[in-house]
Amino acid sequence: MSGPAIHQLVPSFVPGDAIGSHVRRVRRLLQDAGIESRTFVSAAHPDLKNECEPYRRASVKADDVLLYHLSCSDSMAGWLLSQPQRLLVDYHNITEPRWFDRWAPLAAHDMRLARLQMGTLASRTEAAVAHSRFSAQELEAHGYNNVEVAPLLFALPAGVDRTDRPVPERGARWLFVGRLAPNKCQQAIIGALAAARRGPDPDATLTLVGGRTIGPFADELQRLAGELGVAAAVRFADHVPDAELEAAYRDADVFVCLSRHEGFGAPVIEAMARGVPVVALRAAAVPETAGDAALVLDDDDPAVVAAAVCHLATHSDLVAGLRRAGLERAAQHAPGRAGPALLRQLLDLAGGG
Amino acid sequence: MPVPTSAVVRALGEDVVLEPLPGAPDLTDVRDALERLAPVELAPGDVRAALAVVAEHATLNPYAALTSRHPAIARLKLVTRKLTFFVAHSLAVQVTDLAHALLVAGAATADRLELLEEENARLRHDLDELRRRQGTTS
Repeated sequence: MSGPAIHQLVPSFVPGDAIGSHVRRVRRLLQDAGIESRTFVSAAHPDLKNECEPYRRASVKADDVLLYHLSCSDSMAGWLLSQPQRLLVDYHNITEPRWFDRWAPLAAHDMRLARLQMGTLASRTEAAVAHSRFSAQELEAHGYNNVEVAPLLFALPAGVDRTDRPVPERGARWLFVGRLAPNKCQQAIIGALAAARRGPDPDATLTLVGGRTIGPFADELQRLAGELGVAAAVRFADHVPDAELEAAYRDADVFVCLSRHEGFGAPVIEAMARGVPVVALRAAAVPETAGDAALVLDDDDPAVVAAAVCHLATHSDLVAGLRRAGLERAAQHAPGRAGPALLRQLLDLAGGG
Repeated sequence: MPVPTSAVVRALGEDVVLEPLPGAPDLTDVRDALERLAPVELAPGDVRAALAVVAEHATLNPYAALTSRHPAIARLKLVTRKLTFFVAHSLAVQVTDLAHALLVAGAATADRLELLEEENARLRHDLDELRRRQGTTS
């Protein structure tokens, strides 16, 4: 296969990061398909220095295609406006700044700037992909045309069938994976755990896996757990190595996601792939990511969330159904299926100029 | 806030009716605590909300986080903090004293300016009076 080179531009190139992982997989797909592809960055982790080049020294041909990964503000956006090449945008979503105003005003400012840059790039962009209908609608609202929903590429294990494993009525182990951030609303999960422990499951525990990126918010979560009397039942696991993350999924009885803003929500799919039943809030992209394979709530009141988890403990048939549906859902996102689908879309968009 | 007694949710394409929590535990304190963590809505020109954000960050914590996944790094951070604390503390005291001194100087300057303005107004008044007298005698 041949065609114009498709070069990727990513402001921050980090291993283990969802965007970094996606970019590396896209590059491999393109190169395997015989398409020249280089990666240009503003900043890169030392481990990835030999995989990328600074964007300001990029020398690319006029008929090459540039694929910009948009998720934060960066000077790269301004530079792109002056480049002659055709531009595609891969939108990874920008969190609504209002979630960060209180806890991290500088981060909120960056998000506002990123959204301004998103609007500025719209007229320069030929086509865009987003990883959920929710994100695609944001692009369209900012003036983008020719927007498609495309898969996000991330590592997924082969499905783990735990269909026969019930959710225990006492001592259920709740899990959520995602950095401690206001939009992910870990406080609502802690509140729901407190409700469950005062009700039918006094032994329920919660593990929150995710880095303390917003210090004041993380401190407040720990204070909240103490105030509600569940400090000993909540484990703040911080950012963990892959093996420890795998163990957290293996040990979990239920995955609880009450995020209010997610552009996709990869951990929901990761939990499904490990056979963990999911209880999630109908907010942002989460319901379309989870589909029918999760218990989807319209309310994150602690009584409702606790009732949902306790419902699973007394309805093993529903749990088995959720585990089965979750495995099927996860299989749709397996790299073997998602990769070729994304490649086809990118080549169609890149070839359309 | 109304307390939900039951809810209908979706799973596997069907409605699932959730029963209320057994024992109907009192969750007033839980809901109040969660309310306190709600985001501050910053509308343009909403000075009160902006001040709330300032208040959230007005307390500076001089203690950098010591946690680390590697115990050795955590201990190293602790030692570094102990070694640097007296310098940082001394500096902080001096910065505080300087700020206080600037406030005192600012207040004194403002007082002095007010005195000068009063003196200026009094002299102008006297001058006008002298001019008026000169006009009536000539």
